[in-house]
Amino acid sequence: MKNKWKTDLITGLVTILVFVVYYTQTFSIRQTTLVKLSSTFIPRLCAVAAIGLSLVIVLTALRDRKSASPAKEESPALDESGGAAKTIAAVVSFVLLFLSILLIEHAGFVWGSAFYLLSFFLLCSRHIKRNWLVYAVLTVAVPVLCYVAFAQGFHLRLPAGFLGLLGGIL
Amino acid sequence: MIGNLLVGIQNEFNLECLALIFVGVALGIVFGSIPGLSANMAVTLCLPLTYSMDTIPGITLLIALYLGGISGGLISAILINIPGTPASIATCFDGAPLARKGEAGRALGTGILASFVGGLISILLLIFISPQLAKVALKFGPFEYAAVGIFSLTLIASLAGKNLAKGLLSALIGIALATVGAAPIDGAPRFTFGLTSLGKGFDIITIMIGLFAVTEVIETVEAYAVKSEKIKPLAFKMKGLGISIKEFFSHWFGILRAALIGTGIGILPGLGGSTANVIAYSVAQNSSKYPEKFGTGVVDGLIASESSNNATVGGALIPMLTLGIPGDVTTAILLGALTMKGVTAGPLLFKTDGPLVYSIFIALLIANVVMLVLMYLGMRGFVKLLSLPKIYLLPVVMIMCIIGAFAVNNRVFDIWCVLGFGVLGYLLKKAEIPFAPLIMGFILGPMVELYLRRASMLNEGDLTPFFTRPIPAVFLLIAAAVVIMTVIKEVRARSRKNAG
Repeated sequence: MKNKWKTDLITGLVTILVFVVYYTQTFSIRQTTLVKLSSTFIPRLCAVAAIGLSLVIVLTALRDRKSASPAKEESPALDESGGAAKTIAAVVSFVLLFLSILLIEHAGFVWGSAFYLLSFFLLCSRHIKRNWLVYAVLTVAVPVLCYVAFAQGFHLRLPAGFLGLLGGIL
Repeated sequence: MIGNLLVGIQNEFNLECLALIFVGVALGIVFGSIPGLSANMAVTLCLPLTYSMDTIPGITLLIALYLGGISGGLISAILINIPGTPASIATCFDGAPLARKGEAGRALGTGILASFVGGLISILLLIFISPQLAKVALKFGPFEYAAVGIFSLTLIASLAGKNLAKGLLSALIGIALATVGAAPIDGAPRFTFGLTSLGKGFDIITIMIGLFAVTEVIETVEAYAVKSEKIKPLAFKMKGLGISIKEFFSHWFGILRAALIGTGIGILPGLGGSTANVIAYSVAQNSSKYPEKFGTGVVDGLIASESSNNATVGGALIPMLTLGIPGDVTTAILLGALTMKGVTAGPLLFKTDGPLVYSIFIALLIANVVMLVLMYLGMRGFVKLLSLPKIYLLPVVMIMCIIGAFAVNNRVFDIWCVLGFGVLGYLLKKAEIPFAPLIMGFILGPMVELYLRRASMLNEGDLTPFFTRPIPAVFLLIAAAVVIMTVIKEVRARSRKNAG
């Protein structure tokens, strides 16, 4: 795989960093004398093992780097086949999910999920023919039907938001 | 026994109970098939409906929901590579690749039949030897549980994929995630950063949705982002039951082994279907003549996962009925439902309420058959899901996942967790770190810690019973053998790679 050693190197270094922070956090865990095996035992064991494995990944990546020939490295032409576009789309997708959850929390489930559906359709349909009717129907019907089915049918108290302020129309 | 069985048959073969079984199984399948909604949720949400019912119809409905919920998980696992319930995580490993090859019908048919046979074996064990099996469960103390947990953790190596170090790292990430929240035994808060929402720790449902559903959605978004990538609905073949009976039963040993693993794990309180399916899959892979093919669409893997997860249903009911100890969350709810009806589960239940116990057995048998019929009837409809463009299907699935995450604790915090685990899943996928070991670590890590600490507390820090008691000693010995074999395999593979 292209630049595999780079990915592995970054993976190893990031996990070392994460588990070092995790290990240091174990010192703030409250200790009790109730159990001889303290509540820090497993987290510390886990952190040490993870750091060790991450080191193995880093060392393997460095070894692979030596054996990887420059010709095998990723060329700019290959990247144009969509690597950057895919990453941007993924990041935008996460941002949209973030905004949707924010809306669900503050404006209610129906609005938040409708926003998610519509934004997803728009994000994914840039290179295909848009079917506005289907998007509109799904954007309205799915949130409303889900809300009615779960909130009314199963008494699951999904965030009502504005609908709650309207005196529970739904 | 025969008399009670006849009364049980009489109690269940009436219009009311049969209709409740039908509705319960159908609703359970719907809940099980939607990622995020689970058998637990189906039983919990329908529990209030049973308040006004008599004991037998009420319990019958809950049993049907339980069985349907466990069975339904395979649909989304196979068709969209997102497990419907934690009990069908391993179904994704070979079920989804089969569907991608255009063999969705075969995958579904195999999964349904494996679920039926696995469930049937465990129900028969429940009916005929449950008191004896319950005695085995009673022999399990903290040392035994910890040893089983350690043994199961060693099986992770087989789920590691091509890179053992990354697989083990994934398991450690899972264990680390499981340490968030109150520590077992002393309740010391760990890694909560002062947030009360983190006090309970993370739920397996939110992790499952984040890792499997969100990453699947993101991959679809990525594919749609590139003009050159054509997103075509998957093609599929559909013939008869999907798989011939002869071909299915040529895997009889794998089916039986997975069913026994499922029943055994079901009996042990605290484990359940989410553990059973992954362990059965690992065992099938380890003992296969072609382990390298697992994960590419091998029927053996699918059979192991589906036969074992349905077998946990009967297994989990064994300690519940005979000892009054629930095997998993759903049986805890069922136990609560029985208590509300004035029935005390335990060793005397067979004597005091024999007809009720046998009614439950008959209800399970009928529900298993109804599950088979409904799943086969719906199979053609399920497979047609593949014809739907992913642009319509996946965001709707994501909305259901959001509902499922919210329903875990009735709080938006769990939806935020889904987003967090989605980001983690995306990064892990980019780093080629497999998810399965993470899930195993998350489930087994807390179990090992709980029982290790409990054993340490009971024996004042002395852990020698691990080696002096037969059950833990045997499990640790097998665990050591698995580790040694894995290391030998890895060394051989590396030397072959270097030579080649």
